[in-house]
Amino acid sequence: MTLLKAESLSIQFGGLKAVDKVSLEIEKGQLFGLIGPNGAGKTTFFNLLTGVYKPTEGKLFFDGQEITNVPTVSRSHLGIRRTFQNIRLFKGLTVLENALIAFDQNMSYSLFDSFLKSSKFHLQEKEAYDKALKLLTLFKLDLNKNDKASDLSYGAQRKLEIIRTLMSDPQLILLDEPAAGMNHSETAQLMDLIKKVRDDFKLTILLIEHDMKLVMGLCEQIAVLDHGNKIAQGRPDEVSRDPQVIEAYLGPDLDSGVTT
Amino acid sequence: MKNFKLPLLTYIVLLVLGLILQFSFNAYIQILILQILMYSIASMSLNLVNGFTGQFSLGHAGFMAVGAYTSAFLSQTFPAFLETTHLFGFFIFSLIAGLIASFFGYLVGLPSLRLKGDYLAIVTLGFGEILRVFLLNIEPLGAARGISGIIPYPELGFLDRFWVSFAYVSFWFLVCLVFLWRITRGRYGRQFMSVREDEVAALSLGLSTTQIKVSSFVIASFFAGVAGSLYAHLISIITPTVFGFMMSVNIVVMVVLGGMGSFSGSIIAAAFMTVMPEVLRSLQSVTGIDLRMILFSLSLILIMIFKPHGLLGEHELPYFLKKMRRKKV
Amino acid sequence: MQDITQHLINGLSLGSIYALIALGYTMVYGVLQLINFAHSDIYMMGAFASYYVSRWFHLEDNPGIASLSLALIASMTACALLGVAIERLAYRPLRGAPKLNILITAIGVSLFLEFSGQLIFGADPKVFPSLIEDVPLIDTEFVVLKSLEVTVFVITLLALGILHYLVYKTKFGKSMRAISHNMTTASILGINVNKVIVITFMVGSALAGVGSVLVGLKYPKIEPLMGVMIGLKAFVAAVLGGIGNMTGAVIGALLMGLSEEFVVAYLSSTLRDALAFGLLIGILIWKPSGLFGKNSIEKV
Repeated sequence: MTLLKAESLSIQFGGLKAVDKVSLEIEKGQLFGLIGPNGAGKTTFFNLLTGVYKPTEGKLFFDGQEITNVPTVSRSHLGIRRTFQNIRLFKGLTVLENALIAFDQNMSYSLFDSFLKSSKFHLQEKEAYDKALKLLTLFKLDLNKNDKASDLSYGAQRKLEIIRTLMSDPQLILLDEPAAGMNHSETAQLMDLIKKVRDDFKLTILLIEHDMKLVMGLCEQIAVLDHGNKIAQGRPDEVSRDPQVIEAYLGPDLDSGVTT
Repeated sequence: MKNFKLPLLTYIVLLVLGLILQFSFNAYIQILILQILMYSIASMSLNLVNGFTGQFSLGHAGFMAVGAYTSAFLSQTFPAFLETTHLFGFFIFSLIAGLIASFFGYLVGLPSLRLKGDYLAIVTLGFGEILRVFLLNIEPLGAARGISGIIPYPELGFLDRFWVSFAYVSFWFLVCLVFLWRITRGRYGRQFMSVREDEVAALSLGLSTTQIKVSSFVIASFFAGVAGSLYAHLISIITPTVFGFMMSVNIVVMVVLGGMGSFSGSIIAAAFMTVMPEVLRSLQSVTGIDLRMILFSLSLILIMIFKPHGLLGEHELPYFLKKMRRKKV
Repeated sequence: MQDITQHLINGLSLGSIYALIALGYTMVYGVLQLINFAHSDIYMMGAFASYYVSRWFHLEDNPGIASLSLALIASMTACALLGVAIERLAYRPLRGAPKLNILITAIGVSLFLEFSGQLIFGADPKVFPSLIEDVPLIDTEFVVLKSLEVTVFVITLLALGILHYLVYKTKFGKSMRAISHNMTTASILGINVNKVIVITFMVGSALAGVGSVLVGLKYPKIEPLMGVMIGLKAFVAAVLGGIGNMTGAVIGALLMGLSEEFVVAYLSSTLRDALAFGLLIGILIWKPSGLFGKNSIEKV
C-alpha cells in the first residue's frame, strides 16, 4: 500500500527549476533512500515534503489524502515527522524535556488542569514520562536524561532527534542526511539503529543522503535526483549499475562502475 | 482542594504575618511592602514572556495602565457597588481589569509576535507610547491629570486598611505565583520553552508557535492588568506618565536581574528594585543632589556586563536551598 | 500654493535632520545588529557641546560660516568621542551576549546620559545661540526660502556627500560593508573588525553631532531630554527605509519629515508623536524589512 505519493512535484525559484516534475511512491513499511550529488535538489525536495516550501506545480498525497497545502505544523499531527541535517534540538533543555515536548500533540489537558493539578494532568504527564523513558532506555540515553541536550555527544544528539520523532508514534519519518558529520564507526552504528527503528516501530522511513554507501547498504528502494530531475529508481543493485547515475556521480568521462 | 494545601497554608501564614506587620511597622514601610507584592506580580508575569517564551516585550507598563485605568474608572463609576460588596467588588474589578488588559495583549500580540527580538521590543514599546498619547487626550479618563482619589481598600472591623490591602494583594500574589509556577511545570512550560529554544524545531513537532506566543502574551497581560488594578487602589492616583517607558524598563530589569525563567528571582528583584531607591534617598541628604537615577542606569550596565544571568539564573530558590543542604551533609 | 511649497520645504529640512540621525542608527545596526538606544543621547550631548563652545568663544556675536563651522567641529568631535567611549566601555564587553542583555545595556547607557545631562546641564532648557543670520533669500508669492533652511540643506548634502565617499570609495567603507554582510567571513578575510566598528560609531555619532547643531539653529531650545523624541523618529525613519540600508534611511527620513509636517499642518498637532509610532507599527506589521530592506528567510 502506498503511504506517500508525490505527483510531478516541481518548484521554481526565479528562473531556476530546483525540483522538476519529480514523482515517487513510497510503500508502507519501506526504507526508502533519496540520493543525488550535491546541488541535485534533495534538500529542496525534502522541504517540499515537510511543507517548508509550497510546490509551484504537482500534488502530494499522504495515506490517500492530499496534503499539498497542509502547513508544516499540521503534518506532524498527520503522522509525518522529520529530523534536521544540522541537528535542531532544544539545546538549553534536558534530554528528557526534549523527548517530552515531542509528545505534546498527544496530550490534551488544559492550562487549568495544570493549575489545578487535576488527575488528567497527572495521568497524561505520567504517560508522556513513561513513553519518553522507554525510548530513552531503548536508545541507551536514559542515564543522560537530566543532562542538557547540548552536552550530549554528536551521535547521541542524532539519536535524541530520532527519539523526538518517535514520541508521537508517527507513520512516516523523514531523515535529512542523518550521517552528516559522522565517522565510519558512527555511521555503521547509525545504520543499525535506523533499521532497528523501522523494524521495531513498523515505520516507513525516507532517508535523504548524499553518502551513497550508507544508502546502498540500508535502503530497499532508492531514487536518484540530479539537477532537480529524478534520473533513476529501483533496488540498490539496479541503481548502482544505472549508467545515468554513474554519470551523475562521477562525471561523463568515467565509465567505471560505482563501488559500494 | 487537596492540591492547594501548600498555597493555602502559605496564605494563612501571610495573613498572620500581615497582622505582625500591621503593628510593628509604620505606614511608609507598609506601603513599600504592598508595592513589592504588586511589582512581583508584574515581573513574574513578564518573566513568562521574556524568560520562558524568549520574546522581548518592552511594554508591560502599558498593560498595567490598561488594568489601572479600568479598575479606577469602574470604581469611580460604581462606588455604591464597592460599598455594598466590600472586597468582592474589588476582586471583580481586578478580574475585569485583567481581562481587558489580556484582550489588549491579544490585540498587540497577534500581529506583532511574528517579529523577532529587537523589533518586537520596539513594537511593544510603541504600543506603550501610543497608549500614553491616547490617555493624555481622553478627557473622561482625566487626560493629563489622570484619575485621583481612587477608592482605597476598606477597613474591616479591627483590621485596619493595611491588613486588608495586604491580605488582598497577597491573595493575587499567590494566585499569580502558583498559576505561573504550575503551568510552567508541564506541557505548557515545555511549549513556551520550545519556542524560546528553536521555533523551527517546535513547528516540526506539531507545536503552533504563534498560538503559544500569543497565549504567553495574553496570560502575562492578564496579570499585568491585575497588578495595574492593585496599583490604582493602593496609590489612589494614576496618570498616563506613571505607566511610561521607565516603568516598563524597571519591570524588565526586575526580570533580568532576578534571572530569566526564575519566578523567585523576579520576586527578589522586585523587592530589591523597590527598596533600593528608598534606601538611596538617604544618600541624597549627604550629596545634596539626586544621584539615584544615575546609579540606577550605571548599575544596569554593570549588571549586564558582569552578572548577565541575573541573581538566580534560570533556577528557583528551592534549587539553591537544596544545594546548600547537600553541601552541609 | 505658497502653503504647500512652504510645507514641502519645511518637511524636507526636518527630514534631512532626521536623516543625519537615522544614518547613525542604521550604520551601527548594519555592523552589530544592535539598536543603539544611546544614539539619541549622543546627539543631545553634541548639542550641549556646541552650545558651551559657542558661549565660550562668544560665537553669536559674529555669526557666519566660521562660527558655524567651529560649532559643528565641536559637536562632531564630542559626539565621535562619546560614541567611541560607549562602544568600548559598554557594548564591546557584551559582544556575543544574548540580545536582551545588549538591548538593556543600550537602554542603560541612554538613561545614564540623560540623567547625567540633567545633573550637569540642569533640567531647564537653554537657548542655543543663533550662529547664522536668518534672512530670506528668495521671497516670492510662491515660496519663501530663508538662509537657515538653505544652510540646513547645504550642510546635510555636504555631510551625505562625505559619507558616500567614505562608504563607497575608501577601505574603511569596503570593510564596513563586508562586516554588515557577514562578520565572521569578514574577520577571516583579515578585516580588523574592532577597528571598523569603532570608526562606524565615530562616523555615525559625528553625523548626529551635525544634526544636533542644525536642530539647535532651527529650534533653539536645547535640554537633556531633547534626544528622546527626535531619536525615536529618526529610528522609525531608519526602520521605514529598511534598517541597515543607508540610502533607505535617508529616504525614510525625508518621508518621515514630510509626513510629519503635513500631518501637523492639515490634521492635528497632537498626532505629531503618535504618528511616528503608528507608522512604525504599521511598517513592522506590514513589511518588517522596510521599504528597501532585504527579506531574510531562515535556512532550514
